[in-house]
Amino acid sequence: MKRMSAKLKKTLAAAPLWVWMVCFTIIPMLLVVYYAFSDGAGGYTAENIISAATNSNYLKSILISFRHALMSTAVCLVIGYPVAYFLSRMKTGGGFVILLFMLPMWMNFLIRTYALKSIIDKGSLLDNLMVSLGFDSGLLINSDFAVALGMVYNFLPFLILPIYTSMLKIDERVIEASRDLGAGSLTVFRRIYLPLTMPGIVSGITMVFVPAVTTFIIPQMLNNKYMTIGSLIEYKFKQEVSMEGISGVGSALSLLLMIAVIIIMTVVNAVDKDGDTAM
Amino acid sequence: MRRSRRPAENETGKGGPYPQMKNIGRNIYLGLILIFLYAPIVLVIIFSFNSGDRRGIFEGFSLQWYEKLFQNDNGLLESLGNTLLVAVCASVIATVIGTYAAIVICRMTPLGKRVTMIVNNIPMLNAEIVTGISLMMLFTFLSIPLGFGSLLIAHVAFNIPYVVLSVMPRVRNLSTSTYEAALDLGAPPAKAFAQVTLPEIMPGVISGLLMAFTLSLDDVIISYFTSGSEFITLSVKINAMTKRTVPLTVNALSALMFVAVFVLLLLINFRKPSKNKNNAVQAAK
Repeated sequence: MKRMSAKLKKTLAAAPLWVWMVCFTIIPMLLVVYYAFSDGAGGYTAENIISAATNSNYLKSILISFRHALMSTAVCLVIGYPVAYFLSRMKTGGGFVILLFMLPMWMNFLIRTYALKSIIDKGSLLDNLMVSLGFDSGLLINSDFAVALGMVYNFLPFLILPIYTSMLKIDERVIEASRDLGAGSLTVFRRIYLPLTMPGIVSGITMVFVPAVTTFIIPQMLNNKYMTIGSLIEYKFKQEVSMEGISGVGSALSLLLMIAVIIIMTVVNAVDKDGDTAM
Repeated sequence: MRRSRRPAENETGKGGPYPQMKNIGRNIYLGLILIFLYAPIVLVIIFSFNSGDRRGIFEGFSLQWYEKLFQNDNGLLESLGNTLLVAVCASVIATVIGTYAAIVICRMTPLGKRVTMIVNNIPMLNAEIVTGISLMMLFTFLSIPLGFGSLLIAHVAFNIPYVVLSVMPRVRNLSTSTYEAALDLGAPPAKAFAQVTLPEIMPGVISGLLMAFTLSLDDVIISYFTSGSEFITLSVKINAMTKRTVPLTVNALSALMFVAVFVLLLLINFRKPSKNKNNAVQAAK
Protein backbone atom coordinates (compact mmCIF):
# COMPACT_ATOMS: atom_id res chain seq x y z
CA MET A 1 0.00 0.00 0.00
CA LYS A 2 2.69 2.44 1.00
CA ARG A 3 4.62 1.82 -2.19
CA MET A 4 1.50 2.47 -4.23
CA SER A 5 0.94 5.84 -2.61
CA ALA A 6 4.55 6.77 -3.11
CA LYS A 7 4.20 5.93 -6.77
CA LEU A 8 1.01 7.97 -6.99
CA LYS A 9 2.77 10.87 -5.35
CA LYS A 10 5.55 10.68 -7.92
CA THR A 11 3.04 10.65 -10.76
CA LEU A 12 1.18 13.60 -9.28
CA ALA A 13 4.44 15.50 -8.86
CA ALA A 14 5.27 14.95 -12.52
CA ALA A 15 1.80 15.98 -13.71
CA PRO A 16 2.27 19.79 -13.78
CA LEU A 17 5.52 19.33 -15.65
CA TRP A 18 3.83 17.19 -18.26
CA VAL A 19 0.90 19.59 -18.57
CA TRP A 20 3.40 22.36 -19.31
CA MET A 21 5.36 20.29 -21.80
CA VAL A 22 2.25 19.09 -23.60
CA CYS A 23 0.86 22.62 -23.87
CA PHE A 24 4.00 24.45 -24.88
CA THR A 25 6.20 21.86 -26.54
CA ILE A 26 4.14 18.99 -27.93
CA ILE A 27 1.00 20.80 -29.08
CA PRO A 28 2.95 23.56 -30.89
CA MET A 29 4.94 20.86 -32.70
CA LEU A 30 1.73 19.04 -33.63
CA LEU A 31 0.32 22.32 -34.91
CA VAL A 32 3.25 22.58 -37.32
CA VAL A 33 2.40 19.11 -38.59
CA TYR A 34 -1.31 19.92 -38.70
CA TYR A 35 -0.93 23.10 -40.72
CA ALA A 36 1.60 21.47 -43.02
CA PHE A 37 -1.19 19.11 -44.11
CA SER A 38 -4.11 21.51 -43.83
CA ASP A 39 -5.71 23.24 -46.79
CA GLY A 40 -6.83 26.13 -44.62
CA ALA A 41 -10.48 25.11 -44.62
CA GLY A 42 -10.25 22.17 -42.27
CA GLY A 43 -9.50 19.65 -44.99
CA TYR A 44 -6.45 17.51 -45.61
CA THR A 45 -4.01 18.26 -48.38
CA ALA A 46 -0.55 17.04 -49.31
CA GLU A 47 -0.05 20.00 -51.60
CA ASN A 48 2.02 22.05 -49.15
CA ILE A 49 4.44 19.32 -48.34
CA ILE A 50 4.80 18.34 -52.01
CA SER A 51 5.41 21.92 -52.98
CA ALA A 52 7.93 22.34 -50.13
CA ALA A 53 9.80 19.22 -51.15
CA THR A 54 9.81 19.72 -54.91
CA ASN A 55 9.79 23.44 -55.67
CA SER A 56 13.23 24.14 -57.10
CA ASN A 57 13.48 27.55 -55.44
CA TYR A 58 12.81 26.02 -52.05
CA LEU A 59 15.33 23.25 -52.65
CA LYS A 60 17.88 25.84 -53.66
CA SER A 61 17.28 27.66 -50.37
CA ILE A 62 17.71 24.46 -48.42
CA LEU A 63 20.95 23.62 -50.22
CA ILE A 64 22.34 27.11 -49.68
CA SER A 65 21.50 26.97 -45.99
CA PHE A 66 23.23 23.63 -45.56
CA ARG A 67 26.25 24.85 -47.51
CA HIS A 68 26.52 27.92 -45.26
CA ALA A 69 26.14 25.81 -42.14
CA LEU A 70 28.64 23.12 -43.15
CA MET A 71 31.17 25.75 -44.07
CA SER A 72 30.79 27.73 -40.85
CA THR A 73 30.74 24.66 -38.63
CA ALA A 74 33.92 23.34 -40.23
CA VAL A 75 35.67 26.69 -39.86
CA CYS A 76 34.47 27.00 -36.26
CA LEU A 77 35.82 23.55 -35.46
CA VAL A 78 39.20 24.17 -37.10
CA ILE A 79 39.60 27.52 -35.35
CA GLY A 80 37.91 26.63 -32.08
CA TYR A 81 39.47 23.26 -31.25
CA PRO A 82 43.01 24.65 -30.82
CA VAL A 83 41.58 27.53 -28.79
CA ALA A 84 39.90 25.07 -26.41
CA TYR A 85 43.12 23.06 -26.26
CA PHE A 86 45.33 26.07 -25.48
CA LEU A 87 42.92 27.39 -22.88
CA SER A 88 42.63 24.06 -21.11
CA ARG A 89 46.44 23.69 -21.00
CA MET A 90 47.03 27.11 -19.49
CA LYS A 91 48.62 26.82 -16.10
CA THR A 92 47.19 30.11 -14.88
CA GLY A 93 44.55 32.44 -16.16
CA GLY A 94 42.73 29.89 -18.32
CA GLY A 95 39.47 30.70 -16.58
CA PHE A 96 39.99 34.41 -17.16
CA VAL A 97 40.79 33.97 -20.84
CA ILE A 98 37.74 31.79 -21.41
CA LEU A 99 35.75 34.62 -19.85
CA LEU A 100 37.30 36.93 -22.46
CA PHE A 101 35.99 34.61 -25.15
CA MET A 102 32.51 34.61 -23.67
CA LEU A 103 32.29 38.32 -22.93
CA PRO A 104 31.47 39.45 -26.50
CA MET A 105 28.21 37.53 -26.25
CA TRP A 106 27.10 40.13 -23.75
CA MET A 107 26.75 42.73 -26.43
CA ASN A 108 23.64 42.35 -28.53
CA PHE A 109 24.59 40.07 -31.42
CA LEU A 110 22.64 42.11 -33.96
CA ILE A 111 24.63 45.24 -33.32
CA ARG A 112 27.89 43.29 -33.31
CA THR A 113 27.04 41.65 -36.61
CA TYR A 114 26.00 45.01 -38.00
CA ALA A 115 29.40 46.37 -36.98
CA LEU A 116 31.02 43.39 -38.67
CA LYS A 117 29.07 44.27 -41.78
CA SER A 118 30.43 47.80 -41.64
CA ILE A 119 33.95 46.34 -41.68
CA ILE A 120 33.42 44.39 -44.91
CA ASP A 121 30.79 46.59 -46.57
CA LYS A 122 31.38 48.55 -49.77
CA GLY A 123 33.67 51.51 -49.11
CA SER A 124 34.88 50.09 -45.80
CA LEU A 125 38.51 49.87 -44.75
CA LEU A 126 38.79 46.21 -45.74
CA ASP A 127 36.94 46.82 -49.00
CA ASN A 128 39.30 49.69 -49.89
CA LEU A 129 42.21 47.40 -49.13
CA MET A 130 40.82 44.79 -51.51
CA VAL A 131 40.36 47.45 -54.19
CA SER A 132 43.97 48.58 -53.79
CA LEU A 133 45.00 44.94 -54.22
CA GLY A 134 43.22 44.94 -57.55
CA PHE A 135 39.90 43.32 -56.64
CA ASP A 136 36.46 44.76 -57.34
CA SER A 137 34.72 46.84 -54.72
CA GLY A 138 31.94 45.06 -52.85
CA LEU A 139 33.50 41.66 -53.28
CA LEU A 140 33.35 40.77 -49.58
CA ILE A 141 29.81 41.73 -48.70
CA ASN A 142 26.90 39.61 -49.94
CA SER A 143 29.10 36.58 -50.46
CA ASP A 144 29.43 33.14 -48.92
CA PHE A 145 32.52 34.49 -47.20
CA ALA A 146 30.48 37.21 -45.52
CA VAL A 147 27.90 34.76 -44.18
CA ALA A 148 30.55 32.31 -42.99
CA LEU A 149 32.40 35.15 -41.31
CA GLY A 150 29.23 36.31 -39.57
CA MET A 151 28.35 32.81 -38.43
CA VAL A 152 31.84 31.95 -37.21
CA TYR A 153 31.93 35.29 -35.43
CA ASN A 154 28.63 34.65 -33.67
CA PHE A 155 28.84 30.92 -32.98
CA LEU A 156 32.54 30.32 -32.24
CA PRO A 157 32.18 30.75 -28.44
CA PHE A 158 29.38 28.15 -28.42
CA LEU A 159 31.77 25.63 -29.93
CA ILE A 160 34.76 26.50 -27.78
CA LEU A 161 32.99 26.20 -24.44
CA PRO A 162 31.83 22.54 -24.57
CA ILE A 163 35.14 21.36 -26.06
CA TYR A 164 37.04 23.33 -23.42
CA THR A 165 34.91 21.70 -20.71
CA SER A 166 35.62 18.21 -22.01
CA MET A 167 39.34 19.03 -22.34
CA LEU A 168 39.49 20.04 -18.69
CA LYS A 169 38.21 16.62 -17.74
CA ILE A 170 41.15 14.86 -19.42
CA ASP A 171 43.52 13.53 -16.80
CA GLU A 172 46.98 14.86 -17.56
CA ARG A 173 48.44 11.59 -16.32
CA VAL A 174 46.83 9.70 -19.20
CA ILE A 175 48.71 11.89 -21.66
CA GLU A 176 51.94 11.55 -19.73
CA ALA A 177 51.51 7.79 -19.66
CA SER A 178 50.96 7.61 -23.41
CA ARG A 179 54.00 9.79 -24.05
CA ASP A 180 56.08 7.64 -21.72
CA LEU A 181 54.97 4.67 -23.76
CA GLY A 182 56.29 6.38 -26.85
CA ALA A 183 53.20 7.93 -28.43
CA GLY A 184 53.88 10.85 -30.75
CA SER A 185 51.84 14.05 -30.79
CA LEU A 186 49.63 12.78 -33.58
CA THR A 187 48.89 9.53 -31.77
CA VAL A 188 48.14 11.40 -28.55
CA PHE A 189 45.72 13.58 -30.46
CA ARG A 190 44.09 10.71 -32.32
CA ARG A 191 43.93 8.20 -29.46
CA ILE A 192 43.38 10.46 -26.45
CA TYR A 193 42.23 13.97 -27.23
CA LEU A 194 39.85 13.12 -30.03
CA PRO A 195 37.91 10.34 -28.28
CA LEU A 196 37.88 12.05 -24.90
CA THR A 197 36.71 15.38 -26.28
CA MET A 198 34.15 13.77 -28.62
CA PRO A 199 31.16 14.61 -26.38
CA GLY A 200 32.32 18.23 -26.35
CA ILE A 201 32.85 18.23 -30.11
CA VAL A 202 29.40 16.75 -30.68
CA SER A 203 27.60 19.25 -28.50
CA GLY A 204 29.72 22.05 -29.96
CA ILE A 205 28.84 21.07 -33.51
CA THR A 206 25.19 20.79 -32.54
CA MET A 207 25.24 24.24 -31.01
CA VAL A 208 26.73 25.73 -34.16
CA PHE A 209 25.21 23.69 -36.97
CA VAL A 210 21.52 23.89 -36.10
CA PRO A 211 21.41 27.67 -35.61
CA ALA A 212 23.64 28.10 -38.68
CA VAL A 213 21.24 26.16 -40.90
CA THR A 214 18.15 27.90 -39.64
CA THR A 215 19.05 31.48 -38.81
CA PHE A 216 17.68 34.12 -41.11
CA ILE A 217 19.17 37.11 -39.31
CA ILE A 218 22.81 36.66 -40.30
CA PRO A 219 22.22 35.79 -43.99
CA GLN A 220 19.71 38.62 -44.35
CA MET A 221 22.24 41.06 -42.98
CA LEU A 222 25.37 39.84 -44.74
CA ASN A 223 24.25 38.19 -47.95
CA ASN A 224 21.03 39.41 -49.49
CA LYS A 225 21.66 37.63 -52.78
CA TYR A 226 20.16 34.35 -51.63
CA MET A 227 17.15 33.33 -49.64
CA THR A 228 18.05 30.74 -47.02
CA ILE A 229 15.54 28.28 -45.62
CA GLY A 230 15.17 30.43 -42.50
CA SER A 231 14.51 33.53 -44.60
CA LEU A 232 12.03 31.57 -46.65
CA ILE A 233 10.01 30.44 -43.63
CA GLU A 234 10.18 33.92 -42.18
CA TYR A 235 8.96 35.32 -45.49
CA LYS A 236 6.08 32.85 -45.65
CA PHE A 237 4.88 33.67 -42.16
CA LYS A 238 5.62 37.34 -41.86
CA GLN A 239 5.58 38.91 -45.31
CA GLU A 240 3.17 36.82 -47.34
CA VAL A 241 -0.24 37.48 -45.84
CA SER A 242 -2.10 34.22 -45.55
CA MET A 243 -4.67 32.68 -43.24
CA GLU A 244 -4.26 34.82 -40.11
CA GLY A 245 -0.49 34.64 -40.08
CA ILE A 246 -0.36 30.90 -40.59
CA SER A 247 1.25 29.63 -43.75
CA GLY A 248 0.66 26.11 -45.00
CA VAL A 249 3.79 26.00 -47.13
CA GLY A 250 5.71 27.68 -44.32
CA SER A 251 4.56 24.96 -41.94
CA ALA A 252 5.51 22.28 -44.43
CA LEU A 253 8.98 23.81 -44.82
CA SER A 254 9.32 23.99 -41.04
CA LEU A 255 8.30 20.36 -40.76
CA LEU A 256 10.94 19.35 -43.31
CA LEU A 257 13.49 21.45 -41.48
CA MET A 258 12.50 19.83 -38.18
CA ILE A 259 12.89 16.34 -39.66
CA ALA A 260 16.24 17.26 -41.22
CA VAL A 261 17.48 18.56 -37.89
CA ILE A 262 16.30 15.41 -36.09
CA ILE A 263 18.11 13.21 -38.62
CA ILE A 264 21.31 15.21 -38.33
CA MET A 265 21.17 15.16 -34.54
CA THR A 266 20.63 11.42 -34.51
CA VAL A 267 23.59 10.86 -36.80
CA VAL A 268 25.81 13.25 -34.86
CA ASN A 269 24.74 11.77 -31.54
CA ALA A 270 25.44 8.25 -32.77
CA VAL A 271 29.09 9.30 -32.88
CA ASP A 272 28.83 10.22 -29.23
CA LYS A 273 28.49 6.75 -27.75
CA ASP A 274 26.96 7.75 -24.45
CA GLY A 275 24.23 9.71 -26.18
CA ASP A 276 24.62 11.94 -23.18
CA THR A 277 25.35 15.27 -24.78
CA ALA A 278 27.57 17.23 -22.44
CA MET A 279 26.51 20.79 -22.03
CA MET B 1 41.04 17.80 -11.06
CA ARG B 2 43.62 18.82 -13.61
CA ARG B 3 47.13 18.76 -12.29
CA SER B 4 49.78 21.18 -13.38
CA ARG B 5 52.30 19.83 -15.85
CA ARG B 6 55.29 18.17 -14.28
CA PRO B 7 58.53 20.08 -14.85
CA ALA B 8 60.23 16.80 -15.79
CA GLU B 9 58.19 16.70 -18.94
CA ASN B 10 59.78 19.82 -20.33
CA GLU B 11 63.24 18.65 -19.37
CA THR B 12 62.88 15.47 -21.38
CA GLY B 13 61.61 17.54 -24.25
CA LYS B 14 58.36 15.65 -24.52
CA GLY B 15 56.27 18.79 -24.01
CA GLY B 16 57.67 20.19 -27.25
CA PRO B 17 61.25 21.12 -28.07
CA TYR B 18 60.82 24.84 -27.35
CA PRO B 19 58.12 25.31 -24.73
CA GLN B 20 58.75 29.04 -24.63
CA MET B 21 58.32 29.34 -28.40
CA LYS B 22 55.18 27.28 -28.18
CA ASN B 23 53.72 29.73 -25.69
CA ILE B 24 54.45 32.64 -28.01
CA GLY B 25 52.72 30.86 -30.86
CA ARG B 26 49.79 30.06 -28.61
CA ASN B 27 49.48 33.64 -27.41
CA ILE B 28 49.59 35.03 -30.95
CA TYR B 29 46.88 32.58 -32.01
CA LEU B 30 44.61 33.34 -29.07
CA GLY B 31 45.32 37.04 -29.50
CA LEU B 32 44.29 37.01 -33.17
CA ILE B 33 41.02 35.26 -32.38
CA LEU B 34 40.31 37.71 -29.57
CA ILE B 35 41.00 40.62 -31.93
CA PHE B 36 38.52 39.08 -34.37
CA LEU B 37 35.92 38.76 -31.61
CA TYR B 38 36.49 42.22 -30.17
CA ALA B 39 37.06 44.32 -33.30
CA PRO B 40 33.34 44.82 -33.99
CA ILE B 41 32.72 45.64 -30.33
CA VAL B 42 35.48 48.24 -30.33
CA LEU B 43 33.99 49.72 -33.50
CA VAL B 44 30.53 49.88 -31.94
CA ILE B 45 31.94 51.74 -28.95
CA ILE B 46 34.15 54.10 -31.00
CA PHE B 47 31.35 55.10 -33.33
CA SER B 48 28.97 55.71 -30.46
CA PHE B 49 31.10 58.84 -29.88
CA ASN B 50 30.96 59.94 -33.51
CA SER B 51 29.88 63.52 -34.12
CA GLY B 52 28.74 62.54 -37.59
CA ASP B 53 25.96 60.06 -38.21
CA ARG B 54 27.76 57.51 -40.34
CA ARG B 55 29.62 54.33 -39.54
CA GLY B 56 32.94 54.06 -41.27
CA ILE B 57 33.85 57.75 -41.09
CA PHE B 58 34.69 59.14 -37.67
CA GLU B 59 34.11 62.87 -37.87
CA GLY B 60 34.98 63.86 -34.32
CA PHE B 61 34.19 63.22 -30.70
CA SER B 62 30.74 63.99 -29.39
CA LEU B 63 28.25 62.71 -26.86
CA GLN B 64 25.25 63.57 -29.00
CA TRP B 65 24.15 59.93 -29.45
CA TYR B 66 24.14 59.40 -25.71
CA GLU B 67 22.10 62.57 -25.27
CA LYS B 68 19.64 61.42 -27.90
CA LEU B 69 19.47 58.01 -26.28
CA PHE B 70 18.39 59.50 -22.98
CA GLN B 71 15.85 61.69 -24.73
CA ASN B 72 14.35 58.33 -25.68
CA ASP B 73 15.08 58.84 -29.36
CA ASN B 74 13.45 56.05 -31.43
CA GLY B 75 11.91 54.66 -28.23
CA LEU B 76 15.06 52.67 -27.52
CA LEU B 77 14.83 53.07 -23.75
CA GLU B 78 11.26 51.88 -23.82
CA SER B 79 12.25 48.72 -25.72
CA LEU B 80 15.13 48.20 -23.31
CA GLY B 81 12.62 48.38 -20.46
CA ASN B 82 10.41 45.83 -22.24
CA THR B 83 13.38 43.54 -22.80
CA LEU B 84 14.47 43.68 -19.17
CA LEU B 85 10.91 43.13 -17.94
CA VAL B 86 10.47 40.02 -20.08
CA ALA B 87 13.97 38.71 -19.29
CA VAL B 88 13.55 39.11 -15.52
CA CYS B 89 10.04 37.61 -15.40
CA ALA B 90 10.81 34.79 -17.82
CA SER B 91 14.10 33.78 -16.21
CA VAL B 92 12.60 33.74 -12.69
CA ILE B 93 9.54 31.73 -13.76
CA ALA B 94 11.65 29.38 -15.89
CA THR B 95 14.06 28.85 -13.00
CA VAL B 96 11.24 27.90 -10.62
CA ILE B 97 9.62 25.53 -13.12
CA GLY B 98 12.96 24.19 -14.35
CA THR B 99 14.26 23.46 -10.86
CA TYR B 100 11.02 21.71 -9.98
CA ALA B 101 11.27 19.77 -13.23
CA ALA B 102 14.87 18.74 -12.56
CA ILE B 103 13.94 17.36 -9.14
CA VAL B 104 10.88 15.53 -10.47
CA ILE B 105 12.76 14.11 -13.45
CA CYS B 106 15.55 12.77 -11.25
CA ARG B 107 13.03 10.73 -9.27
CA MET B 108 11.46 9.16 -12.36
CA THR B 109 11.96 5.62 -13.59
CA PRO B 110 14.69 5.29 -16.24
CA LEU B 111 12.14 5.09 -19.03
CA GLY B 112 10.10 8.06 -17.79
CA LYS B 113 13.31 10.01 -17.37
CA ARG B 114 14.38 9.28 -20.94
CA VAL B 115 11.07 10.27 -22.47
CA THR B 116 10.75 13.40 -20.35
CA MET B 117 14.28 14.51 -21.16
CA ILE B 118 13.66 14.07 -24.88
CA VAL B 119 10.54 16.24 -24.71
CA ASN B 120 12.29 18.70 -22.43
CA ASN B 121 15.17 19.08 -24.88
CA ILE B 122 12.96 19.70 -27.92
CA PRO B 123 12.87 23.51 -27.65
CA MET B 124 16.62 23.58 -27.14
CA LEU B 125 17.53 21.29 -30.02
CA ASN B 126 14.90 22.51 -32.39
CA ALA B 127 15.69 25.35 -34.71
CA GLU B 128 14.74 28.61 -33.04
CA ILE B 129 12.66 29.57 -36.02
CA VAL B 130 10.59 26.38 -35.70
CA THR B 131 10.07 26.95 -31.98
CA GLY B 132 9.11 30.53 -32.79
CA ILE B 133 6.55 29.78 -35.46
CA SER B 134 5.13 26.78 -33.58
CA LEU B 135 4.46 28.96 -30.53
CA MET B 136 3.08 31.70 -32.75
CA MET B 137 0.69 29.16 -34.27
CA LEU B 138 -0.33 28.02 -30.79
CA PHE B 139 -1.19 31.60 -29.79
CA THR B 140 -3.06 32.17 -33.04
CA PHE B 141 -4.86 28.84 -32.63
CA LEU B 142 -5.94 29.70 -29.09
CA SER B 143 -6.69 33.32 -30.10
CA ILE B 144 -4.21 34.62 -27.54
CA PRO B 145 -3.28 38.15 -28.66
CA LEU B 146 0.42 38.59 -29.38
CA GLY B 147 1.96 40.89 -26.79
CA PHE B 148 3.61 40.77 -23.39
CA GLY B 149 1.76 37.61 -22.32
CA SER B 150 2.58 35.56 -25.39
CA LEU B 151 6.18 36.78 -25.35
CA LEU B 152 6.56 35.83 -21.69
CA ILE B 153 5.16 32.33 -22.24
CA ALA B 154 7.45 31.84 -25.24
CA HIS B 155 10.51 32.94 -23.30
CA VAL B 156 9.68 30.75 -20.32
CA ALA B 157 9.16 27.83 -22.69
CA PHE B 158 12.55 28.11 -24.37
CA ASN B 159 14.36 28.90 -21.11
CA ILE B 160 13.16 25.87 -19.13
CA PRO B 161 15.33 23.23 -20.87
CA TYR B 162 18.47 25.23 -20.11
CA VAL B 163 17.53 25.57 -16.44
CA VAL B 164 16.77 21.83 -16.22
CA LEU B 165 20.12 20.97 -17.78
CA SER B 166 21.90 23.29 -15.41
CA VAL B 167 20.14 22.06 -12.24
CA MET B 168 20.05 18.32 -13.11
CA PRO B 169 23.69 17.48 -12.34
CA ARG B 170 23.34 19.08 -8.91
CA VAL B 171 20.16 17.15 -8.14
CA ARG B 172 21.78 13.93 -9.31
CA ASN B 173 24.68 14.42 -6.90
CA LEU B 174 22.33 15.33 -4.08
CA SER B 175 22.55 12.98 -1.14
CA THR B 176 19.01 12.03 -0.20
CA SER B 177 20.17 11.05 3.25
CA THR B 178 20.57 14.61 4.52
CA TYR B 179 17.08 15.49 3.34
CA GLU B 180 15.71 12.35 4.99
CA ALA B 181 17.67 13.12 8.14
CA ALA B 182 15.98 16.52 8.27
CA LEU B 183 12.59 14.84 7.88
CA ASP B 184 13.44 12.30 10.60
CA LEU B 185 14.40 15.15 12.88
CA GLY B 186 10.91 16.52 12.44
CA ALA B 187 11.36 19.18 9.77
CA PRO B 188 8.33 19.63 7.52
CA PRO B 189 9.13 18.71 3.89
CA ALA B 190 8.98 22.33 2.74
CA LYS B 191 11.44 23.42 5.39
CA ALA B 192 13.71 20.45 4.76
CA PHE B 193 13.70 21.34 1.07
CA ALA B 194 14.44 25.02 1.69
CA GLN B 195 17.18 24.45 4.24
CA VAL B 196 18.82 21.25 3.06
CA THR B 197 18.11 20.56 -0.60
CA LEU B 198 17.98 24.09 -1.98
CA PRO B 199 21.37 25.28 -0.67
CA GLU B 200 22.99 22.19 -2.18
CA ILE B 201 21.56 22.71 -5.66
CA MET B 202 21.84 26.51 -5.47
CA PRO B 203 24.91 26.88 -7.76
CA GLY B 204 23.03 25.02 -10.51
CA VAL B 205 19.91 27.10 -9.93
CA ILE B 206 21.86 30.36 -10.10
CA SER B 207 23.71 29.41 -13.27
CA GLY B 208 20.41 28.29 -14.79
CA LEU B 209 18.85 31.61 -13.88
CA LEU B 210 21.74 33.57 -15.38
CA MET B 211 21.68 31.48 -18.54
CA ALA B 212 17.92 31.95 -18.91
CA PHE B 213 18.26 35.69 -18.33
CA THR B 214 21.03 36.00 -20.93
CA LEU B 215 19.11 33.96 -23.50
CA SER B 216 15.99 36.05 -22.98
CA LEU B 217 17.93 39.27 -23.23
CA ASP B 218 19.55 38.31 -26.51
CA ASP B 219 16.72 36.44 -28.18
CA VAL B 220 15.55 37.78 -31.52
CA ILE B 221 14.01 34.99 -33.54
CA ILE B 222 11.46 33.63 -31.07
CA SER B 223 10.56 37.13 -29.88
CA TYR B 224 10.17 38.25 -33.48
CA PHE B 225 7.44 35.69 -34.06
CA THR B 226 5.67 35.91 -30.71
CA SER B 227 5.74 39.58 -29.72
CA GLY B 228 3.25 41.24 -32.07
CA SER B 229 3.50 44.93 -32.85
CA GLU B 230 2.57 46.52 -29.51
CA PHE B 231 5.22 45.16 -27.19
CA ILE B 232 8.61 45.37 -28.89
CA THR B 233 11.86 44.20 -27.35
CA LEU B 234 15.21 45.77 -28.06
CA SER B 235 16.48 42.92 -30.25
CA VAL B 236 13.34 42.89 -32.37
CA LYS B 237 13.57 46.65 -32.74
CA ILE B 238 17.24 46.58 -33.72
CA ASN B 239 16.54 43.77 -36.17
CA ALA B 240 13.88 45.89 -37.84
CA MET B 241 16.34 48.80 -37.95
CA THR B 242 19.04 46.73 -39.69
CA LYS B 243 16.75 46.56 -42.73
CA ARG B 244 17.34 50.29 -43.17
CA THR B 245 20.12 52.01 -41.25
CA VAL B 246 20.77 51.57 -37.57
CA PRO B 247 21.08 54.96 -35.83
CA LEU B 248 24.18 55.42 -33.70
CA THR B 249 21.99 55.77 -30.61
CA VAL B 250 21.87 51.96 -30.75
CA ASN B 251 25.67 51.97 -30.55
CA ALA B 252 25.51 54.24 -27.53
CA LEU B 253 23.03 51.96 -25.80
CA SER B 254 25.00 48.81 -26.67
CA ALA B 255 28.21 50.39 -25.41
CA LEU B 256 26.57 51.34 -22.12
CA MET B 257 25.11 47.86 -21.66
CA PHE B 258 28.42 46.21 -22.45
CA VAL B 259 30.32 48.41 -20.01
CA ALA B 260 27.66 47.74 -17.36
CA VAL B 261 28.10 43.97 -17.76
CA PHE B 262 31.87 44.35 -17.71
CA VAL B 263 31.77 46.30 -14.45
CA LEU B 264 29.31 43.82 -12.98
CA LEU B 265 31.63 40.91 -13.81
CA LEU B 266 34.59 42.70 -12.26
CA LEU B 267 32.55 43.38 -9.11
CA ILE B 268 31.51 39.74 -8.87
CA ASN B 269 35.13 38.65 -9.25
CA PHE B 270 36.27 41.03 -6.54
CA ARG B 271 33.46 40.09 -4.18
CA LYS B 272 34.09 36.38 -4.37
CA PRO B 273 36.99 36.13 -1.90
CA SER B 274 35.16 38.06 0.83
CA LYS B 275 32.08 35.90 0.34
CA ASN B 276 34.18 32.77 0.74
CA LYS B 277 35.63 34.23 3.88
CA ASN B 278 32.14 34.83 5.26
CA ASN B 279 31.20 31.26 4.51
CA ALA B 280 34.31 30.04 6.21
CA VAL B 281 33.57 32.17 9.25
CA GLN B 282 30.02 30.88 9.34
CA ALA B 283 31.19 27.32 8.99
CA ALA B 284 33.67 27.85 11.81
CA LYS B 285 30.90 29.05 14.06
